[in-house]
Amino acid sequence: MSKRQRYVLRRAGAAAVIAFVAITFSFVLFRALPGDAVSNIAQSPRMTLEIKEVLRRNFGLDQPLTTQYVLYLGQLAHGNMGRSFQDSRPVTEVVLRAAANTIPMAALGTLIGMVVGTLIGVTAAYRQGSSLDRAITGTSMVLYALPVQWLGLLMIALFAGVLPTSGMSDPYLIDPSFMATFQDRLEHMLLPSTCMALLLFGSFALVVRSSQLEALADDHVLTARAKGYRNRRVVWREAFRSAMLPLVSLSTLTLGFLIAGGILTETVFGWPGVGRLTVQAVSARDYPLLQGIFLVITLSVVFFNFLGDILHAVLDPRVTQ
Amino acid sequence: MSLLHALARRPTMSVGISILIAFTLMAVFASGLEPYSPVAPSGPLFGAPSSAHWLGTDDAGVDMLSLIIAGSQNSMLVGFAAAIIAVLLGGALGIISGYKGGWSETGVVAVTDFFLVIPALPLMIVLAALFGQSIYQIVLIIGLLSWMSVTYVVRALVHTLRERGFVARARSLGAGDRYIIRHHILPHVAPLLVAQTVLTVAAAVFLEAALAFVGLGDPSRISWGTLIQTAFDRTAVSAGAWWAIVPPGVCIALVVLGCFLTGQAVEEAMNPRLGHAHVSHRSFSLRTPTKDDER
Repeated sequence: MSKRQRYVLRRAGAAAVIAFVAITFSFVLFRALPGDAVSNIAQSPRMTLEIKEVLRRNFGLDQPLTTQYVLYLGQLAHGNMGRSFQDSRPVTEVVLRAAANTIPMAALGTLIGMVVGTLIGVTAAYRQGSSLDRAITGTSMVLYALPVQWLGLLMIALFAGVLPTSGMSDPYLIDPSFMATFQDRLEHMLLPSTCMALLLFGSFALVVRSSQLEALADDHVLTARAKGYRNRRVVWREAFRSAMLPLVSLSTLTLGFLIAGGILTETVFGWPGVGRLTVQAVSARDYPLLQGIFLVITLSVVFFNFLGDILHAVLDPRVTQ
Repeated sequence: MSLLHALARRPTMSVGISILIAFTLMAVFASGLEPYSPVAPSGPLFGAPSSAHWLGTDDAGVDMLSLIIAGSQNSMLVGFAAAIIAVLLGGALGIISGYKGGWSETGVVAVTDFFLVIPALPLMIVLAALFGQSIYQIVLIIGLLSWMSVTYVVRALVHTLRERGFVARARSLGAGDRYIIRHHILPHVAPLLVAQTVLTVAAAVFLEAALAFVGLGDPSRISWGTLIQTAFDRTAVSAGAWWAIVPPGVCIALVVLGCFLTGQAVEEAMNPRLGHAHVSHRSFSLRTPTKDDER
């Protein structure tokens, strides 16, 4: 087994352990509540003891905690995360459907924010100390300091009437063509995606700028310049390549938060994704749903973290030594 | 002394500190500064800014300026209280594990890594939904989930300090662990702890606003977070009442910026080596490596 394979296996093992601990952690959290699920939902006046007992048995709450834990793990392995308290739909289905709405919007915003932030960060580093650099750093810091939900509200106030500010589609489109639907989606996506992009832009520009500055001071960049390469080649092929490591870490971290990152954005713009689902689950105290969302978000973060480790090792072989 | 020197050399730091001091004073003297009651109506519904109400009134006719001042109290309280919890816990864990090494270090690193990976905001939402959303619970939840980055940087620093000559010398002279930590480790860690405190204040103010926005703010308290949430909930946007939306966000942004500037400057000012690294970006000196460079 090569060193690299061993490294990948080790990281995979670590990710699996973290995922398992997170799953157990979430079981403990949601069982640590005073009372159980039945006493919470069974507050209707006609609830009798017998019905409560039946409910408890149906939910498996009459079993000892260890049995419940084993049951929970077994069901989870089959993708079953229980049923929502609100309408008893399967949690897995509800969360996945919401995630399918979240991903295109969040991916668009994340991608734009990442690419533009990186380009601008490299530019700022190239012109370090200039007024352009100061303007970029200042703007990025301010963007980084803004509360998302507030930025979203301002955007709604500014663009109300010009662009759709709430929801994912226009309910009054009758039998639309594919292009019309596509355009409608895109229009609805524009504001929330831009909102996410603006925020990510700030952090990417700042991180890329500082790592690019460090890279520009490296000896190999000096060598490249001494060889008489053009500035563009020095900046991108020599400096940026070694500045990419922190960028990769930040990118995989951001992608891991793709599903969770939009909790506030989705709420502001009424986007029917995981974020808004979270808020609904909170306000309805729908614990199985909340637990399912938490698990999906956490596992996606753990997975992308693992992916980041692997990419890191591919880009920088020293990691595996 | 060195702090004053540093202040004079760094305008950004004085800007940052001034912002923080101004908002802290506002929070401390809130009840004396409010021109009207922050709970009772004193003007028209969604009244525009005027000479009587500098920032206008909200959906219930309550004076916005008074709300902002009253809100500063709870936002700053959450920010500072949570940051202090996080830095005390994180600093202690970082110093002990970094200094002791061995199993305690491995253990602390594993736990830190775990909590760094778990997405913070969703976990806080879950905890606040499960255990309650009074301001004290929010402080605890934010504080107890923000120590990881403090531990991370403090442990790394202490780990290198442990190997330094002055620690070995002190030990050979018979100094105990407690003495060494107090007299040799803490002074080196202190600036980092200060910087981490300010940065955590920023994060905590942010997180409080985020929790409030998803409906997990303390319902009996006014904070900048709950003000943004009410502006959103009670249709300040469609009423065109920008004065009910803009001020709380600006306040949060200012405090967060103030924290960033201060934290950055404290780290730079109290860590002369950082200054060196910055210079070396552009100048290429050929001085002979000193002993310090190896460490």
